[in-house]
This record gives sequence, C-alpha cells and structure tokens, in this order.
Amino acid sequence: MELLRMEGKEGRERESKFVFFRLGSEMYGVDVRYVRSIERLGAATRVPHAPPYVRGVMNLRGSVIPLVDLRLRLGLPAGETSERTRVLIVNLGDKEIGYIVDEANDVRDLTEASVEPTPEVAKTERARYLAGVARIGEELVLLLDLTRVLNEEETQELEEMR
Amino acid sequence: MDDFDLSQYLALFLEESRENLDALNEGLLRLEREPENLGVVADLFRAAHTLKGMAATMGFEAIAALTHELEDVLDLVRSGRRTVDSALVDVLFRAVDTLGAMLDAVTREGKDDIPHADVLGELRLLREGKDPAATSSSLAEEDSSGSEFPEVPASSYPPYVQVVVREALRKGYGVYRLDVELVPDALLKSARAFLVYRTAEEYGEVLHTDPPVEDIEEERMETAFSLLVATSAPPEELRRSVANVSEVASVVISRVIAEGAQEDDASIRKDGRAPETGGSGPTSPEVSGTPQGSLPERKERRPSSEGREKLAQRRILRVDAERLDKLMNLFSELVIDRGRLELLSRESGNVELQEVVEHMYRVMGELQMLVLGIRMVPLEQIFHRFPRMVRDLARDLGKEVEFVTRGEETELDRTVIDEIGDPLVHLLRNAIDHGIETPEERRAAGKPPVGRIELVAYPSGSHVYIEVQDDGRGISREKVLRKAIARGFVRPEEAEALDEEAVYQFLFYPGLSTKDDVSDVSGRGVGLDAVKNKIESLGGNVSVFSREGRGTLFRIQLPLTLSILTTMLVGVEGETYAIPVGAIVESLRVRPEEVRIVGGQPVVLVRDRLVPLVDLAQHFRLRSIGESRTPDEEGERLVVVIRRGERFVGLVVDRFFGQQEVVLKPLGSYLAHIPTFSGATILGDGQIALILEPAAFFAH
Repeated sequence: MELLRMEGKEGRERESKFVFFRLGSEMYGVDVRYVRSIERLGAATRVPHAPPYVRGVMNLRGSVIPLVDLRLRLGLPAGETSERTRVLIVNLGDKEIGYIVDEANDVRDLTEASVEPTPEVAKTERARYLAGVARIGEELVLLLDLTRVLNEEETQELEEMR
Repeated sequence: MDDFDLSQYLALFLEESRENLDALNEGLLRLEREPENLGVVADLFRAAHTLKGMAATMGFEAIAALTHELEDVLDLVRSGRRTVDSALVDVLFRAVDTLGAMLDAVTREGKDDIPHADVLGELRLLREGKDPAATSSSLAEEDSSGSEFPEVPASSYPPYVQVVVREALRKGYGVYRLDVELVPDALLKSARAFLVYRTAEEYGEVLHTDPPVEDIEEERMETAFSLLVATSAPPEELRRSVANVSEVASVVISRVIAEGAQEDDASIRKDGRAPETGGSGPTSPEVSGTPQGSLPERKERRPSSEGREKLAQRRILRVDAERLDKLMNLFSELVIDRGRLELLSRESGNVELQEVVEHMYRVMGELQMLVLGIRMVPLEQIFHRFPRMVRDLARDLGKEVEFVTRGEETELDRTVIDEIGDPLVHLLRNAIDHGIETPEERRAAGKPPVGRIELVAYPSGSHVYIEVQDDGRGISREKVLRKAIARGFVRPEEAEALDEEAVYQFLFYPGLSTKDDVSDVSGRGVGLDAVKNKIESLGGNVSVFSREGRGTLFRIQLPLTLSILTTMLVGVEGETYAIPVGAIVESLRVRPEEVRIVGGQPVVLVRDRLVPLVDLAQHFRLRSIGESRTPDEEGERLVVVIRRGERFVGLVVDRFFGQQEVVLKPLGSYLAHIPTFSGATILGDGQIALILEPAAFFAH
C-alpha cells in the first residue's frame, strides 16, 4: 500500500495529506501528491467513440485533458452536475486526467493510525480501487488507490485494442 | 520618358521601403537618446535618401516630396545649423509615420496621395529655422481641427442612433465611424469582428454597428463592417489599435458631426437616453506629456548588440510564402501516412519492408526538422516595432519608461510569429498603463522615477519563453482572490488550497478586473482572457508572477516544434471538428432529392462517382437516428468529400467554418486508441476541436 508513507523517522507515525471529495452520498479521499489542481467543470468537448465514463476533453491552460466521470468509472450510477461539481486534475507519471466529482472538500492530514483495511462487508466492485478506509469522527472515508484506478484503465484499453 | 512596366518591381519597392522606414524609426529613437550623435544623423540621411530615390523612380511623387523635406531637415542637423530637441524629433517621427501611411496606401490602392499637408508644413517651418507651431505630444490636438478626417453627418443614421450620437457629442466626446475591412480570406469573420468590437470598447463605447450585432454573431456578414464609436481618446490611436487586430486589412476613420444640434436638444431631452455607462464608459485617458523642449531622461542601454550581430551574419533568402505553405502541408500529410505505413509494415512481417520503412522514418524525422526550420522566423520581426510603441504610449500616459529587449534572435514558427504580436502588444500596454507608476508615485515609493520594462525571449528545452516584466506596482494577490470569490469563480474554502500561480490565473478569466471600479481605458482583466486564448491556440500557455510594490512578470511558453496542419473546420451539433485538407476533395451542398439509397446506404452522385454518405452527427451519436436537424431553407445538406486512394466518402456536417491552420495537440495516451481522431487542437476562442483521422472512415 503505497498511499501513506509508512516508514516514519524513528518509528514516528507519518502523516499524509489527502484531498477529500464526495461522490453521491459517500466521502472519498485521494493522496494530494497526485492532485495537481481542482478546477470547476467547464465546457467539455465530447469525444465520440470513447468509453462511456469519458465525459470528453477540456482545455486546461493549453493542454487537452480527458475528463472521466469518476462515478461511472467506479461503477456507481451517474450523478447530476451541480454548482459544486469539480474536476480533480490528477497527474500520474506522464498521464494527466481530470476526474469529475460531485464536490471537492478540504485537504486534511491523515495519520496512519486512523486508516483501517477495507471491511469485508464493503467488498463491492469499487473495493478493487480502495486502499483502505479511514474514520474521521463519525464519518467513513473511502481512500482511493489512484494507481489501481489508472492501471485498470490501461489494461482495459489494451483489451479494447485487440 | 520610357513607359516601364514598373508593377513587377512594386513588391520589391514596398519591401525595401519598409526596411528603410524601420531604419528611420530606429534611427530616430537613437537620436532621441543621443541628440549629439552625428553618426546616427548620417544613417538617417542615407535611409531617407534611398527611400526618396526609389519612390521617385516608381513615380510616387508624394513620398518623394515628403522624404525630400525630411532630408532637408536632417541636413540642417548634420551641418550643425539646428540642434536636436524634442520638438524636432516629434515632427520627424510624424513624418516617418506619414510615410508609413503612404506606403500602406500604395499597398492598398497603388496610390500614395493621402493628406499630409500639415506634416509637410511643419517640416518646412523647421527648414526655415522656425519652431513648428503648436506641436504637442497629444495627438488629440492635431485632430481638434477635424480637417484630417472625412466627415459624416449624424443624420445618415436611423433616428434612435442619432439621438445617442448627439448626446455623446453634447457631453464632449468625439464620435467616429470606423469602416473596417478584413482580409479577403479571413475565416471566423465573426470572431474577428468581435475582437475589433472589443478593441473599440477599450477606447469608449460602441454606439452602433453595421451590420447589426446579431448578424455579425451569426456571421451574416461579408468582410467589411463598420462601427460607430464614442470616445475621448485620440481617434488616430483608436484607428491604429483596430488596425492592429490580425486579419484586418484596413480601417478608415471618419468623424461624425451633428448638424443643427441646437434645435434637437429639446427633442433629446424628451425621448433621448444617455449612452449607457457600463464598465468601460468613455473617459479621458491620462494625457500628460513631458514638458516641451526637454528630452526625457533615459539611461543609455544597448539592447543585445550580440543579438543584432547574429542576425546580420546570416545569409537571407527570399522565399515565396505560399510555396512554403504548400511544402508544409504536403509534409504534414506525409507524416500522417508514415504512422500508418509503420503499422502496416510491422503487421506484414516482411523484414525488408520493415527496414526500408525504418530508414524512411529516420529520413523523415530529419526532413521534418528542416521543413519546420525553414518556417522559423526570428522574433525580431515583431519586437522591432515595440520600442516606438512603448515610447509613444509612455509619453501619452505621462510615464517614464526604459524599455529593454533581449533574445530577439530567438526563432519561432511563422504562424506563431504572425499571431503572437497582438498578445504581446496587450501585455506591454498593460505594463505601461497599470504596472509602471507615475514618476511622482515612484519617487514617493523610493524607486527611481524611470520605470523599467523588459521583453525577453529565450529557448529552453523544446519550448520558447517570452517574458514581459515590469518593476511597477505589482498585482495584489489578495485583491485578485477577493474578486475571484466575489465573482463566484472559486469558493472561499477552496481558495486556501490555491498556490500563488493559481491565484493569478484568475486574471485570465473574462470579467475580472482588479482596477477599483474607476472606469479605465485599457483595464487589466479586459482582454487578458483573449490573450490567454490566443496563446493557447498556438499550443502554449501563459502564467503570471507578481510582488506588490516590486513588479509583475508575464511568462509565455510556446512549443518550439509544432505540428501544424491545414484543416477545414466544420460544425456538427454544436461541436467543431477539423478535417485535414490533404484528404479533402471538395465540399458541396447536396439537395435531398440528390441522395439515393444504394444497398441500404445513402449515396450521392459527385461527378459520375457514387459517394457514400456518413452523417457525422449520427456516426458520433451526437444526434439519434430519426431525429432530424432543422434543414436549410432549401433542405440542403452540407457534405465534405474525403478521399483515400481511389475511395471516396462524403461526411455530412451542419456547418462549414472555413480553412484554418491549427496546432496539432496529442489526445494523450488515455484516448490515443480511438481511431477516429488523430489529435485535438485549441481554437482561437479557447474551445477544443477534435481532428478527424480520415482513414477511420474507410475501414472495411
């Protein structure tokens, strides 16, 4: 699990910053390292023949960035765009992708201790993409492992190309 | 005298004359800084003399006569009978400007006779040893007599326009008609007209347009249109700014006058309405020139003499630009085919074939660098007109500015050079207007009274950077953030997570102006979004760094090697797509009765060929089968016929937008596997257009 930097100096608990966002009624978190920026959802140019979860492409300061509806990507039903809808611009290696989320909230620290492994009960299609679950007070935050979300997409692409 | 056919020499004459004019401009700038330098005077004399000779040979009497007077004045200086002072330099600059206008007239109409009696008069006064009367750094004074521009009566407009015009005149504004002509092959005319409109709005208020705004938006227009503008700025400045918008061929300005104003006053009060004072209502710009007779203090600085040397050492070849365009286009087609060939050769398993293709690949790579290299042009081409512009503007606004350029030998593709001028002009104007403080403000802040603006270009990696930097008052990060939050561009909680650069990006959002709501003529925030859009359509981006009280830096990043494709832009269901022209055979309108069904497939007969039709709206699932678009009046469909070898396909679209050179941007590894598109491009308005891969429509 490469999400949280587990090796601390002198065995101290390491903290990592997470961006929290909402999909539907659920709260998710993603390591802020990968998030380049959070943008509003502007005009998206549709891309015909793209997978259904690709909403289109957008112009971000001169770069053409694909927009992925994260709900659809994770197997959730589609949502409605609102004033609070945001796009997380994610950078992984040389890939830049914009993930559409229902609401982007704050950036917070998470200590190692508050993270638990994904409970068995919650093993749904989504669970593949989770690196764990964190408890913030009353709320349960699902921590996304972006490398899995992205890598899955790569394998899928290769399959489609055959 | 022999009747030579001189027309073949016209192009050469114009080109060399402009070079001489440039030399005159640069020489005058130097003379202003070094009034004692007789070497510069000799250079100026030479340039004027050459210009006179060529003009006389070509039969352009007016140019020859004006240049002759110019020579005479320069001779006075050369022989010590007259010293160089600010009044003299101003007159000389005006003479050079008039010569430029004459060359423009020759380019347009083949004649050089434009009104220039006043400049001629001033030169004569100087020659006779008198001081030119009533010279001032404010161009507005020149035009107060009104004799420079043709006059148009307000009564030639519909009554409701007349009312507004008279009201504006009564309030002391000048009202002018701008007749704008775009270049004949201008595409996206409505976008150009819009830019012209916006430029005019920076000076005051646009009272009326012909054709009406709705028609312009719908592109129901030819290449000519006119605007009625109320402003208190010097009309020549307004005309120049509009003329500087790209793809504008010419701008003619006339003054609108109201006859019988007295009697109509009563009726105005009854049913008239005051011109709306929106965000950019007409205001008089700050005009406070330096006192007459003294030259502004300038520190002596040589802008990159090494750069100039490098330029001089190259051997220059004149090449027909059209030929280069064809070369580039053919090459782009070759590049696309190369990709497919490589794929096919790999699949074929034929080793010899693969080797040949590999070699071809390498050769083409080199060829590509060379072809792109031929199109590269040094930035000096656009930088060279800036010192004059900065000087004029600084004087008009009462600022003292030291302007330094570096790296003008840096090269960029020809298309980029053509387009990067406007954004740079805008940034420079901003720096002078809003960045640099007045000398008093600067002294009060403990800064030297002369502000400094640097325009620097340099290559780095696969990019070229152009920076505009000033040591002025800087931009307040807090103010920008506050405005951004107030406009709803960002929520307060989100604002905390933004880094400095991200905050300044809000400056490029339309509608954000950090100047406290005093109406301003060229407000920062007005037009910065156009700057950003233009730069992005060239494949680049722009960022801002600033320190309050210390200064501001705008950094433009442009790609060094470009894949430029000439495409035809089409509209389908509100989206714009680009089709490489190499694949296009023709575009036509098809009437419903011409469409037949053969084997279940709609086809149309084009020159004895049956061409199958593909409705892009349905093919792209932008519109469902059965749902029909509102057909043209005659029910015509627009079709672009593309070709692959001996096979043809007709793509049915909603609109034709015309031809455009675009910068090819990759779709990214994420979407690269979609065969229908070879990439994307960012259009001049910031929108994305996907580039079609013609081969995808010929799959079995």
